[in-house]
Amino acid sequence: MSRVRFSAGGAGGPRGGGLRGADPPLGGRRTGAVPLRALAWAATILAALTMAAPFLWMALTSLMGQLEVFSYPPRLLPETARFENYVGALTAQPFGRFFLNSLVFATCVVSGQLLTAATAGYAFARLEFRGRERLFLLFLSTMMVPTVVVLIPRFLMIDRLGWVDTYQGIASTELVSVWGIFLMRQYFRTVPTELEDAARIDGAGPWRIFWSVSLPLARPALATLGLFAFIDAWKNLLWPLLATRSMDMRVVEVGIASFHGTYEVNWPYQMAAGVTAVLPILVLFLFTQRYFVRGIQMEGFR
Amino acid sequence: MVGVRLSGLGKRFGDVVAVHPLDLEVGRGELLVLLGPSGCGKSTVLRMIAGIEEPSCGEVHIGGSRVDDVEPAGRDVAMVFQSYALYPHMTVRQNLSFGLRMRRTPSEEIERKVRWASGILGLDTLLDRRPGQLSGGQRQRVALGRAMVREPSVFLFDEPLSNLDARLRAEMRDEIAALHRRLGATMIFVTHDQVEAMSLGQRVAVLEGGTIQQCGTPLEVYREPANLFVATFVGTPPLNTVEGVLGHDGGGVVFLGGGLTLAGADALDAPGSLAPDDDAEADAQARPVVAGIRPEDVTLVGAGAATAHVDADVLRVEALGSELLVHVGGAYGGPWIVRASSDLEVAAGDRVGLELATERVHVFDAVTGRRLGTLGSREA
Repeated sequence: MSRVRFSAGGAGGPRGGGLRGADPPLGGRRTGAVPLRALAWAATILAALTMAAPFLWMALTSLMGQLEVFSYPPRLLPETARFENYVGALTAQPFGRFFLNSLVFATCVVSGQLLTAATAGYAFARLEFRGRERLFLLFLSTMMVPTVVVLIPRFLMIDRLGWVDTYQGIASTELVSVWGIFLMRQYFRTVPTELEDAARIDGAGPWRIFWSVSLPLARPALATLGLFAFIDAWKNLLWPLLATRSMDMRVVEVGIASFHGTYEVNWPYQMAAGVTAVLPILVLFLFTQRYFVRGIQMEGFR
Repeated sequence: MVGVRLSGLGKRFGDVVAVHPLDLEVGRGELLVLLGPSGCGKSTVLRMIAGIEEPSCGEVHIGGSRVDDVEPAGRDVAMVFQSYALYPHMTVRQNLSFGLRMRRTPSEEIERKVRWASGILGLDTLLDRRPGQLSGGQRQRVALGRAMVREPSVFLFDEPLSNLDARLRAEMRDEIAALHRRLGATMIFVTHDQVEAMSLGQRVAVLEGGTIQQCGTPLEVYREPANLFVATFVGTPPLNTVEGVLGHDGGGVVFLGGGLTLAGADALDAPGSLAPDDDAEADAQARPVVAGIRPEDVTLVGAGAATAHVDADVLRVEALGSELLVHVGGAYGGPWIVRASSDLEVAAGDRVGLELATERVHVFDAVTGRRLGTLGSREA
């Protein structure tokens, strides 16, 4: 059961919203609004730099030599950009396989969470059954249990099933997100009940109403949930590290971590692999920014 | 032939009674309007007929069959909602055809019916748009079309015009009336707008507090309101009222109150009227009543004129073009509103006399609100 940390994942949202909020039509022409606007810009730029700095540092380090990383005074820019670090890092271990494993893992998690969150969220929002609210509270209360606490029980479960070091082993315990159920429930509650009434009169049964009316209307919430679930799965290190053993089953994050040996750390290689691992998420983010913003709005306003 | 019959139909939400058990029959092909203020239970009645609200008691019969255990889809009803309830992610065509697709209607027939409904409602050019790209009036038409294509035996309208501006509302009202004539289907129309009710309904059922106060033709409801609530709720501007007592002066009944003395006929001209009789004369002398008169049944005359029943001060004059609405106040209480010809020269501050057509003065029991009848004219 994974949760999305909004402080990190949602940084793009408020930034975008802040810019728009600070730019009212004609607002800048009023003399009183100018300092306020400048202040908003300054705060936004500062926040942007704070968020971007670690990424820039990672990218710059990935192009440095092993010793250059530790030079004193610290260098910001590499003396010569060593792009061969990328080739070295990605061939030092079977990263192709790692990427495939990460992709399979993330895809399973996304599909599973979308399915379970949509159905359970709908049930909690719309179906009337005894103990509904209490059951929902019980679900919510599990969000207070830290992920690490349930790592061992999860491992014991998949071990008993003989699923250690398999796709079903790493994916099966990640298929339900309580946060996702909460998100979907809140969203389904905003869909006017009249639409469902109209569909009932039109002859649709409960499943048809869910599938043809409510679910299509929940697309923004589904997109948000899918996006966060993908990112969460993609950057998950601890669980795949625990649940896999062979090189064939390792995911990208585990591969990156393995550059970090007990006695030696190859920082440029690790950063090069890190940059490569971030790229898919970065591309995803560029196309789905509005869902990030919407996700944060949904979390913040309800 | 009965289109819809409700017997003992009631609804409770916990301890709150939304609809007291009521009986109502709507003839096949009839357009009945359920009229009442917000929260009177009229929409709940409609939703119980549609099957999307479960009744707490009573039965719903549609076309002669009992349907309260039948799913909404099996009741052969179509409903038009206040918010239109169009599926936002579907095009107009998909919205119109959704109900037919759910019923596995052959695609050629769906196409034919969609074309038929969109032709009547002028939606031909909008079929590929989504509801978000339509104006309020167009959405309303799509909602109507969605009901039409199903060709149901009963149409249910839940305040469908309340989100439209005045002009569009009048237009859509005409369209619904025309549609009713054209389809000849049973229609139940819920509204809080009495103009809508009077102009659309063949019969109007007035609801208040979850109870049907009166059910009759628009004219009956207007001219012979069953009680004070119906009398004041139906009619714009509303009925003018004054509290007083009903007495007897040997020549007939007399209303005394607020400085008004209105002499009526020998008995109140209503069947079963409670005109004072000899045995109860003492009681009757003191019987508290409310007298009510419509704005058009009061005539403005000169102050102190022989025909004036009472004098009053003009507080405000609303010039509507075709007529004047003159707000007057006086010893009787008020303010009253009097409908007058726009040729009349009258201004705020003027002193006028009010001449009441006593044969049109309604008398209501002050305790129960029940209408006792009209005072009647002594000359007649």
